[in-house]
Amino acid sequence: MTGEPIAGPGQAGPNILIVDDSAIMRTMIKRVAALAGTPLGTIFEAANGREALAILEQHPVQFVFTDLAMPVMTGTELLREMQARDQWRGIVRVVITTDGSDSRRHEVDGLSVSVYVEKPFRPEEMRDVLTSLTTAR
Amino acid sequence: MSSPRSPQPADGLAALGDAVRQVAEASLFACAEPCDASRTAGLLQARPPAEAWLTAAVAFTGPFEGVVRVTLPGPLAGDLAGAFCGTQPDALDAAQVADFAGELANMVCGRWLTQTHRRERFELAAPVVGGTAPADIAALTGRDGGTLGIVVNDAPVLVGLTAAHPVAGA
Repeated sequence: MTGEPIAGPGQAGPNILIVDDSAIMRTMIKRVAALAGTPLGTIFEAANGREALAILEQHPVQFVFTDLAMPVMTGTELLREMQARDQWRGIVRVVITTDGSDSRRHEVDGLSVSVYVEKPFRPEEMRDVLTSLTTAR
Repeated sequence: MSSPRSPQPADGLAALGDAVRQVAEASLFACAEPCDASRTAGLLQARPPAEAWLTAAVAFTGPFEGVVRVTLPGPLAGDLAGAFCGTQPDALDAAQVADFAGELANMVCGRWLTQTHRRERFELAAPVVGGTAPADIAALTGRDGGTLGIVVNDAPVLVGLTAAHPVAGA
């Protein structure tokens, strides 16, 4: 688990939690998010759903970007846990996954997913997602 | 809903090649195009004889099951990994490059299955990444119709598909 401030002193921005079992994928998403041009707070990382829950319990997070297929605890299981907790009701949830099948999309229905991003994605897609989410807040 | 048959190598390889192209263009800022056996052989012969290669394999299950493999030269893997995460290749260690190779195979397999069998449900196993001896590279291209050569940034990448018979009862 890591947390890296992106915003400088006095800058306001959402804290983001990136959940993916691939460290290099987390690095890529973090880089794209930082280059998106929207103010960001701290970016946390987790390698699976269980690590993500530990971070959520300790730190205020406004956006969760999560993969689905992960060991220990999948992204779907993480989203179900988040859905069950009132204190996390306001967290924006974004799924980032290679699996764009209809059945997988249906699997996360009712789990408050705002955006479903299929890998591979272009950096500008993530920029557009962040822009739309921060504008909507 | 089940697929009437598992993908025949030619069908699957062509679509896999398209998936590689999409991954390369979207996430790696690279140009990728399938090449025929002759060009693949020429690209392989042009590589340094003792060069290290990586193979990343992703097994999948569902209405049919199989394994997608991506084999590429180590230096190319490093270059693409650097492009992927926006850093110089020499800033990445071997573990990070291997992680990238696994993620590459994961994205190729996932994109291929999503585009060709969107209405069906598959499970992808975690990628397995290992070294491939130069002497074994040529043998990969000899597999009956199961390997496609792709040129990425003027370097060869081999994409292999092994598809088992449909799962009983699927």
